[in-house]
Amino acid sequence: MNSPPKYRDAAGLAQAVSAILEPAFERIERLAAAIAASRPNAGAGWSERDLAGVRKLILDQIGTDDLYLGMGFVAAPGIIDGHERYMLWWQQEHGQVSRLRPNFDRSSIDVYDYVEMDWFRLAEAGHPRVTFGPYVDYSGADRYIVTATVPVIVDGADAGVAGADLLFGALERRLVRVLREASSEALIVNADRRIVAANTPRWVHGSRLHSLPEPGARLREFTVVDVAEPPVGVGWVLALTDADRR
Amino acid sequence: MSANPRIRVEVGGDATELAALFAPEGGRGRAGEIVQRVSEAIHLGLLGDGEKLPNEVELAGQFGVAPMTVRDALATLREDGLVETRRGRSGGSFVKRPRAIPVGPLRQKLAAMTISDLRDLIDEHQAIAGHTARLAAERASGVNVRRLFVLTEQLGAAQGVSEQVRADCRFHIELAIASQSERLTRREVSLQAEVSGMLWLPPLSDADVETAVDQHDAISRAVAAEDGAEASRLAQEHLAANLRRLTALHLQLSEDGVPL
Repeated sequence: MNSPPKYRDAAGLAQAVSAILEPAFERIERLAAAIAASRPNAGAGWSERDLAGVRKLILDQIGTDDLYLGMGFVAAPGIIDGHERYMLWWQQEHGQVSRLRPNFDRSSIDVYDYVEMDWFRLAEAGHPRVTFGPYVDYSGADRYIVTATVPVIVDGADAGVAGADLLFGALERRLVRVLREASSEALIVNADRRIVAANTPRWVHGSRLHSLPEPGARLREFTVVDVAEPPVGVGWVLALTDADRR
Repeated sequence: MSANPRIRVEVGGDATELAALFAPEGGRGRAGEIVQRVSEAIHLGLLGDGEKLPNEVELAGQFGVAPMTVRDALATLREDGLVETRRGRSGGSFVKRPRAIPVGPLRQKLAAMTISDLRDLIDEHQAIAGHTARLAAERASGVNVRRLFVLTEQLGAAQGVSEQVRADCRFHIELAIASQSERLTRREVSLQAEVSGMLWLPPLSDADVETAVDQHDAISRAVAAEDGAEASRLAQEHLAANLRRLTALHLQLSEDGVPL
């Protein structure tokens, strides 16, 4: 508790926050590469059978770390033979791993149309790394999660996204552990202006700020003194204020 | 992976030692209670068509009952045509959703409740939904807000009880999702399963539907405007109107006798 603070500026802290997310994105990027490599040469179709190795890779990764609630491949419409919509996604709960099989019937009111969802759209639109959330997921995982995605690109064209559902509780523990080593109050805010994590009780996780923090701006009765974006590149902002950490 | 709600069906709380506090309904016992909750969840679209149910042991754990009780409940659900059991490696029990919600059992359920039961149910729902709406206004993302307006439109366009019930449920669950609270979302889903089917029982006038759509629209606007106090007030007013409708229907059913 009384050890000297490790981070005195936002850049150093942002670097440490990045280091928490980097391994997750590296895993997802390896998965994306394996998915892209599974596509047969031009001319031949791309079928579910070609993805046997990908399936094994997903199942090997999931369950190695309590951060990963789910992981998989979400295909661009029509790219897998015989499937207008296609998801190769597994999730784990209580040590049980099961494949997610959403309802893709677009005539149904319960349709799960992933092409409209931000974690899919943004990665497809060329954002190299996307995080969506934290949010209450009531379809697949039934938990408070962050979905992280990267594009899958084959021959220069979009083939869908690779992604993982990160259990927010596990992520929060890691983030707060780092924030606690800051010299003053520190918070992480996502692009929705939502508080992802903070190292003081003045901020309610999941609530929204009126605007993204900028140096010199007032945050309640204190002032933002330093701001940095974690280099992992997911649109999060890390802010230090002049409030005491205790 | 957002947006398509599922349910955790709660029967008499999930702690086994609490089981004794819950009187079985109509002498059907706890298996009957499970049948009722799962049936409601299927009709409301909270359990998706074709969705695989957890196995008997897991279900028994979730409900806090013996596996034998779950087996009885599944047998009844199979007889009712709501669940299909397949054998083999990829076997299990799967949801088979009928086209339309059967209104007979819902009428019976509403007729069997007392007016004070209904008031109590809405008391709880107001507590949950009022605070949920407040938090949603404070915390909703742009995606949540867009979806609230889409679901409001869907309610206006819905044809027939089944579609109306589903669109209505989805709206309230989306509001809960927007609150960022996993617990409130679970409570809201559970309350929707209890209330929503009865709420859309015929006779329903166009004006009734319009009023509900207007109320959903007003709540969505308050959420979009980030006005927590107003969203909360509107949600509670919406539920007070629901209580009046449920009470009116209940009185009518007791007067007419319950048609099946």
